Amino acid sequence: MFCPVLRYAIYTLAAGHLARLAWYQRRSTEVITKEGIVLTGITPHTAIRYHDTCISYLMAISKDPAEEFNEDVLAAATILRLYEEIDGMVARHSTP
Amino acid sequence: MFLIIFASAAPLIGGSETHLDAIQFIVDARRSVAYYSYQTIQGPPRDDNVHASPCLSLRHSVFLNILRQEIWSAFYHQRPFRLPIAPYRDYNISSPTNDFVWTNRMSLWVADLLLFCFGDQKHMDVDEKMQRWASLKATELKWVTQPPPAFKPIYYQDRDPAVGQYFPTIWHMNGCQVTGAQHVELGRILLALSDPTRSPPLERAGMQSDTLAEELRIITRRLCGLAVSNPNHPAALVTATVGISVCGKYFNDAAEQDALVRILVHLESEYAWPTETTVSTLRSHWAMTT
Repeated sequence: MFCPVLRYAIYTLAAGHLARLAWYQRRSTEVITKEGIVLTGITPHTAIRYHDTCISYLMAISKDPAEEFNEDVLAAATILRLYEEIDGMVARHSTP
Repeated sequence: MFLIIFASAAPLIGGSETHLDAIQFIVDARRSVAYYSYQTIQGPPRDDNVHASPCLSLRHSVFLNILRQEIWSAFYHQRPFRLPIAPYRDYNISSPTNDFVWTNRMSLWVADLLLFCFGDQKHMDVDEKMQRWASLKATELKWVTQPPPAFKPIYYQDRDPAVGQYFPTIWHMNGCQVTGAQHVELGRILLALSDPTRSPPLERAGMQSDTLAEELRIITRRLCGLAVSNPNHPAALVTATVGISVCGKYFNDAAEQDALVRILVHLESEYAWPTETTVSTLRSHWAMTT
């Protein structure tokens, strides 16, 4: 893909979704599967790592005057917002 | 140049500043305002070349997504709508068009209602408030009396609590129509909550009158019915959840309360959309009011 910001935004949302789905369905994130395939590389912290990577690419773009915000970056920000809203809902429930 | 500080991208976790607050999307003034205008909500024609740059149709799609996200968020948190809507709002435009444009038109109407309910009306005098509310209400009345023909449900059956059917059955031809119909219901909730002809008028959901509570229950049942009746469109469950989070407190019947909770639990367990907080908030409220 030509846009790492968009790529990692999609990875962030997808990883977060798979981890949450495993938790809500089996109350365990030890084994995360999708359509019967075990995804060994995904843990509850995978989304956070992808998120950090995405943000670092975003920061790089915002600091570089030669780069411009295009539709792909806008799409990535929208995807990130969804991830963070959902993550916020989970965090609010967990906070005593 | 019109600076959109992408506040809508900032996370809502306790209002804390994060790196996303540093993002500023600079959009040309003429194009940015046109995105949230009733007259031009249909957007540009789709780009034939998927690698076109700039890709105006992709940009428009993203802006429509942002609009829906912000509607959900502002409704759920009962806070002002934060995106710019074109100041000239003429909802009398009813040129025949496709389902997508109709749904986007009604989404914009809901955004305008959110702007009115949780923002503008605080700065209006009584006459202004009445005039603005009446104009927004007129759009809803027009939807009732002259709906777009495609949005008539292909099947409808009233609810029957005696057999455990707590919500009406409402089938639509596609997910877009379900979204449009649900946004009309969200708009009806906002109209009811901000009705200046009611005494006293309410800005936030609060248990103040039986007629208001009953009206909100009826609307919420339709909102839930649309979600439950059209399982091929799971996004409808999220829209229903947004409505339940605001109006669920008005439900007094235990069996009906359980039906609402089943929707929330189903959304969480099948689609990983967190609803535990909403469920526990509702249960606490119901426990206090029985």
